[in-house]
Amino acid sequence: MSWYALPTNVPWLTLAVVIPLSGALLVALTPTVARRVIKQLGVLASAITLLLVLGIIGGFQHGAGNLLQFEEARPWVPAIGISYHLGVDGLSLFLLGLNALLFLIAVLVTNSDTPRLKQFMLLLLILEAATAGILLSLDLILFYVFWEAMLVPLYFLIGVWGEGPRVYAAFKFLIYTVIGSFAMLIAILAVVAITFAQTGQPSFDWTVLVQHPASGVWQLPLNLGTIGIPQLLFLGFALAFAIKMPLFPLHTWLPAAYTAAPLPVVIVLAGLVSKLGAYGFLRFNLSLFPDAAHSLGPALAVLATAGILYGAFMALVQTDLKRLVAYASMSHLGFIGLGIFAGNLLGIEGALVQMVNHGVIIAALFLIVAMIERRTGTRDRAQLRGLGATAPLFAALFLVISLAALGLPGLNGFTGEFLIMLGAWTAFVPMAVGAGIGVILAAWYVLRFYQGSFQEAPPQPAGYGEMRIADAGVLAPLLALMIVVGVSPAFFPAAVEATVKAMPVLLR
Amino acid sequence: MDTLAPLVLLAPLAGFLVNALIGRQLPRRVVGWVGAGSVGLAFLFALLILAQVLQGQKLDQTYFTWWQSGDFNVPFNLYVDALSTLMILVITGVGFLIHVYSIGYMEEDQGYSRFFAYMNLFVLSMLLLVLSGNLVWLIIGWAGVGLSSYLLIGFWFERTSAVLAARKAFVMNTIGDVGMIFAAFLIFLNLRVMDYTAIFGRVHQLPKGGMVITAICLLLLVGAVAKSAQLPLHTWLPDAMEGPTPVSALIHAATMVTAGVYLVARMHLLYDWAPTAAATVAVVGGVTAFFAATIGTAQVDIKRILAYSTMSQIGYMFLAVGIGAYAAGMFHFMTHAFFKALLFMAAGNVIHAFHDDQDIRHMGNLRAGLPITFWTFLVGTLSISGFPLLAGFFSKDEIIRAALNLAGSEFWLGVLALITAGLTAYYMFRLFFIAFGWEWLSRDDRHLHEAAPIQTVPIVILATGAVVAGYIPVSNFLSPIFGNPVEQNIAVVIGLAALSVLVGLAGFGMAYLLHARRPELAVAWRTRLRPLHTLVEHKYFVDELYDLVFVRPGLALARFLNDRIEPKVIDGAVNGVADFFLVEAKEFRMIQTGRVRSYALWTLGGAIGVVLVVAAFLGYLPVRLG
Repeated sequence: MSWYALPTNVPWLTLAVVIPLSGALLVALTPTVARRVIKQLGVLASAITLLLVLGIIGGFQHGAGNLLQFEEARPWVPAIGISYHLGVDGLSLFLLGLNALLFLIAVLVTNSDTPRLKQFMLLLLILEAATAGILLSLDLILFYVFWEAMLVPLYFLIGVWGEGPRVYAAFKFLIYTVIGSFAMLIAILAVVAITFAQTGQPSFDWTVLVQHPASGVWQLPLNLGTIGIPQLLFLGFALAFAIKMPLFPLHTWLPAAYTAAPLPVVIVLAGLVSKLGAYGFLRFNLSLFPDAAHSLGPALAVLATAGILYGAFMALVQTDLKRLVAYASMSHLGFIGLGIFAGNLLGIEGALVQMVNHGVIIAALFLIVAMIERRTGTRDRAQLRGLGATAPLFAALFLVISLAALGLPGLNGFTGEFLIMLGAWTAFVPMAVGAGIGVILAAWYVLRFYQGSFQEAPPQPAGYGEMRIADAGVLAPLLALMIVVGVSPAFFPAAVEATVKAMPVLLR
Repeated sequence: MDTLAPLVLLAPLAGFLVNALIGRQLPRRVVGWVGAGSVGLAFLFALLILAQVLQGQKLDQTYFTWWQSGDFNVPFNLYVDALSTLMILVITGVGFLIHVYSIGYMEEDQGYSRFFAYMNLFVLSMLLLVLSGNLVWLIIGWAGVGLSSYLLIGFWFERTSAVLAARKAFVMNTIGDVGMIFAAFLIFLNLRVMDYTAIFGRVHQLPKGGMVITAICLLLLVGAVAKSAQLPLHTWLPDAMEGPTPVSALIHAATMVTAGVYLVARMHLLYDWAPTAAATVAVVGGVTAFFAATIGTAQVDIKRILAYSTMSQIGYMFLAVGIGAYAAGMFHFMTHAFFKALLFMAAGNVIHAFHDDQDIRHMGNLRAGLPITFWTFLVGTLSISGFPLLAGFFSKDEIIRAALNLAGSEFWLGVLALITAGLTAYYMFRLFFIAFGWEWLSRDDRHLHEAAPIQTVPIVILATGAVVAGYIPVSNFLSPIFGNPVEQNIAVVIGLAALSVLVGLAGFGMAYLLHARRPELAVAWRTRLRPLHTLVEHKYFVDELYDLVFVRPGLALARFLNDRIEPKVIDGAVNGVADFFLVEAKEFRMIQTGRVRSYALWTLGGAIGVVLVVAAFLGYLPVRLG
């Protein structure tokens, strides 16, 4: 079942990567002084991408039988089995939509007065192409190329256009990520080598590798015992993705990077890039190493739950609103991790829907913080009070976003958290209980955040203005998603269920 | 009926949307009547539903799917039977009167449209809560009423006290929500269904009184206790009086706080199957009834006295549903809705007359100035105190009688309930004598004004209800669900009624003696019983205890993580390692960028940490984690 069928002779997925790249090319050709043109080009490219992706989502066929869709495969380095292989399934479908939506918002909120706007826009659009490529790649080398390609624009976007100790933050992010990537690269090569040994055919193709799960045991030297090969490979991938998410305790790059990054970048970084780590776990760890996922899942679930509680406690006492949202984000990512490591149908579906929800909620929260900062000149909670008195619309929208963030039943955050905790409860009850405590703490820190800045009297600073229509317009699609996914999310499992049910980790 | 049920929801939804989206542009008159009218319309729909339910009809209709994957199927379905019909009649009926009253009461307020939007949101959520036919939408309605309660407690958000009270209510209710969510998990994992009809059909597959069903019922009780302000999650309700008085009448007296009673009654097949959990419900109710009544005797804020009274009366309802007297509990829910809404709204008129002063010691001599409020408040006081043949008399007696009929701990809970009835009469008449006063006690000759008809007519209607509601055959109406009421020996009934009247009279006499006849005695007693009085006046210091045990340690832990662990241990300990390498590097004259190294090393350290945890899990280390 689907809304409609798209023509099959068009490389839709390639277009999703090429359109932002073309936008980047056009921006590169535009004179630096033509700021308005540059911004309009950025908006145009990301808007077309969003329309295209919405078209893909609508044309996605539901039900078993056709898991990977819109596939494109061309040999790249046939001698060693590398190919240009794209495809979309239930794991990547809605993240692709989130990607396009958040980049459009990021471009829209990019200030035309940004210094070196041309380079900024260029990097942003390249970043969009890279993240779309990550979601679409079905070849491990292609994936790795996109994965690394994402890092470069992010590094410059934080390091050049950031605030505060931006170079420090960018470098910290870079080093963390590079170490993870290195581990992943080794694991990729090892996986392919092992499969090669089995089949005699070299292949970096995900669809091939997923058919040949690695096995075997590695004798540690000095009689230190044994470790399973799948477990070892699992950890290689896991390090890269755990850093990107980030999973506790590999998170210390996060507050620095989130706080330093300019608004458009933090929307993408927190809203999307963190989800790519989670996506990587689903696409590779749980699919290529289902046995290792079962044996290592509980340990990672412990870390995820620790992250939920740690992030929540940290959020409780932050005074910088951006740091507060950063730790809230970390806590919420713990939920996503928990659902993934539960390794069952509802946990993974919950994680998938929560990835979209988290992107929507965290982007909205960072937008709110930026709007407050733009008008008051501060993000310090101690210097803000009672702003809602003169800005009722602002207060109302902020409230809805806050409620979604704390997981109010009826809004989108609940939908994901409910399924994740149900999945976690099925797999390991104590983790679900820990997550439940996280829900209670979320109510506490989110309301402290909302009430502390928008309620009580006297207002400080005085004369806070009402939200601009343009700002409300940027928030509108996010608010709509919060309500729709909370009230009537049935479209989501309809599209992803078949893919999740076919995941090796469930079949085992 | 399958169209009427959603219409009941759509009416307040429409009212909410109108007032929330364009309320500020509309004239006040329109805003008020949209708010009240939408609830009135819902009441009309509810009456039409009643007509069909009286003919024996029921409804369990699915309108759309919320989530469907594997065997996890959550529909949006509405479930209408006698129980939900009784609930929606009270919610929309009493709710309509309170909305009308609010048109007058909130007249001067700046946030007029915001107020009515929140009130309609509340009615919508509450109706959703009672009409939902599955656990997920029950939880959504359950959280929706919590949200509206939060919004309305903190309605005057310039006041720090209101903001804190609202947050307290929300967080404590979130504890309850999580309990209910976990109960839903256990139900799904053991019965594989989420909708009521299927759950009720399968519950007997579980072993009676077993771990699973007991755990389910106790987790549901966590939600019920939080929402209904029963021990030990009760401390938010008195603070909730920060909200406007119509809110206290509607949400924190008549309807929302009784959701816990509804929940137990709705899940009665489960509680019948888990005797231990049911007994826990009864104990919570009986003890809360007594506990709250004692606190009520020592308060001086008129709304807080009524709040503790509400806690106490809901305790009666919990006691009833805990001992299986479900119809009696629902009967008391209905009569309580009448007399407590009336008491709150009358108190609202008094508070307005005294320019927002809520201290009963500053009031008095209200008969001449506020005649309608005076007499209706007296009716409410008599009804709640169990004055013969008024509504409260019948419903409370039915609960006490049901408890005394049983053996063991239930019998003693019945005795406690009887004593509480005396306390109820005492604290209510204490309030009445001090605040409303007789002429000979007059300490105040300020010229007071009665409220406008829009604020008195609803009270008079409710007062009529508080008199005659006892004659509505609720038990018979609910008999398709809870079975026929047990025939009782008429002599026993009359004997117990006489006993409870005597107990009530004793409470009344005590109040008359101490607060009308010889107030100096009250002062002397208070001095003599100083420690006890302090304990009760400070609500047994439960707030202070929770602050000490939960709030302060929670914040202290957060600060410790933020000030020590994050910078010094997680991000910083490795700086120590880095520094070590830096020193070594200096010696070898290989200094390049120490910072970079430190992060690289730390990342490595983190990775090793992960590996160690994982290894421990796999059993490669002598430590066992799982």
